[in-house]
Amino acid sequence: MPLSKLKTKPKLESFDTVLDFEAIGTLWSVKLNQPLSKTKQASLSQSIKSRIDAFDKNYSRFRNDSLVGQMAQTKGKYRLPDDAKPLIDTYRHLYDLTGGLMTPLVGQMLADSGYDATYSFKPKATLRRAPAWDETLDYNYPNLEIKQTALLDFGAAGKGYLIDLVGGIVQASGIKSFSVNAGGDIFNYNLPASLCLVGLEHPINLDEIVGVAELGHGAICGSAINRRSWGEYNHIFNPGTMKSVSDVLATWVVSQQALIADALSTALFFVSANTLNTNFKFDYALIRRDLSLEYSASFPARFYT
Amino acid sequence: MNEDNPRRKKRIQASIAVVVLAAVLGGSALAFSGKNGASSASVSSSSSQSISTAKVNFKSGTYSATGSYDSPGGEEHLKITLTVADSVVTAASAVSDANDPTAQTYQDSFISGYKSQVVGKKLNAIQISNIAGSSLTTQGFNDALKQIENQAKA
Repeated sequence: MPLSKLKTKPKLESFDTVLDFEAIGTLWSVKLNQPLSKTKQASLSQSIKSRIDAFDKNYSRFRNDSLVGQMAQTKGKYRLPDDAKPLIDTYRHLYDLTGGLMTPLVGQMLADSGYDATYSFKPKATLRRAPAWDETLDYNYPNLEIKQTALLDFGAAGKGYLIDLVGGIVQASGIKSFSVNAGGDIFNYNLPASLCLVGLEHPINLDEIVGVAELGHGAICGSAINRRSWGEYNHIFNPGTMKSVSDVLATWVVSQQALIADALSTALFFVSANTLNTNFKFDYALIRRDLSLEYSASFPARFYT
Repeated sequence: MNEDNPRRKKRIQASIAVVVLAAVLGGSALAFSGKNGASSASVSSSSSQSISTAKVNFKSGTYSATGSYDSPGGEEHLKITLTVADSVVTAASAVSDANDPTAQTYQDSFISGYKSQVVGKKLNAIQISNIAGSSLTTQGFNDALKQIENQAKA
């Protein structure tokens, strides 16, 4: 039931079981709406961490031994992992929709700017351009040919996809109501009103929120340029200008899959929602540099204005 | 997401009200063609919310007009058709006139709120179960950032 129709605010409850851990460079919190024995908690944690590890070993640009690391060093034909198709299909689709502004080929530019495997945050004098997809890659699942070596970056949508995969593991273990939160990107599964409220973080004052979303079932992903910023750069690069974006401060996208919500939350820094609207089913909100707000008609939140 | 868009309905209703009122005022920029001949109408009630109860003195028949209104994307046009029987509008439809695909998209405008500035509220004052924002950073990341900041200051 929409929040506005409730006569009284739902009494906030807490989740019965919370599993917190660090992985892929951020803080995860898997919250279950039911008690779980210590043994089962340990077993579920282990399954989740193994899955994340396997994903990281394929798609991380921060390790030489990953598939991405190999592709950055050696040309040739690669057979992609079994889970690659939804991820790379989404990237290809958004590459086309954004005219190449959202691209997995921005990895080297990110590393050159300082956001590299050692977190040096020391920008090189010149950043390398993001090459064009068709000059560099030949993608035909399950095959990916690396025609020119390139450092791929799946940071824009990889975490969202991984949230979906982890959500699948939790579901498969028999949990009927839960939330997977990976550092601020969230997938809620069958949550009651008392557990479904999601605060929308203020893009500047990180101890405040600018609104509250209500999401019993589905994904909400946020992107902002605040946390990962150093010197003149933040982690969202416009490969055309070779500068970090600055007009939009923060975006949120609600969709059925976290893969899509995560991907679109980045795409909205590059193109308007109307460009994406005919291709994806989602709701969104974003905040610009002047703190002005823009949102879709059915974005499920109340904002403080 | 656009199946139930109250704003679109409102726009259509507003446009129809414009059409009817324009007929009363002798028609401003609207070309109004009727199948059974138009007559200048007097409108007894111009509620823009309920088309079916608006009473007009049109001869029964089908009338169409193109209305325009301002939208964030510029001026847009809707072709409106009214069916009148016994001085009662019995049917109305609005069809987008947009040739430009972008304008067509704006007809079902996805964008809702504009320009309001957000303000923040302290977290401890509000009860929530999760926070959505940019990816939380780890201690390792924060330490690396801090090192750089310190070096920059030195």
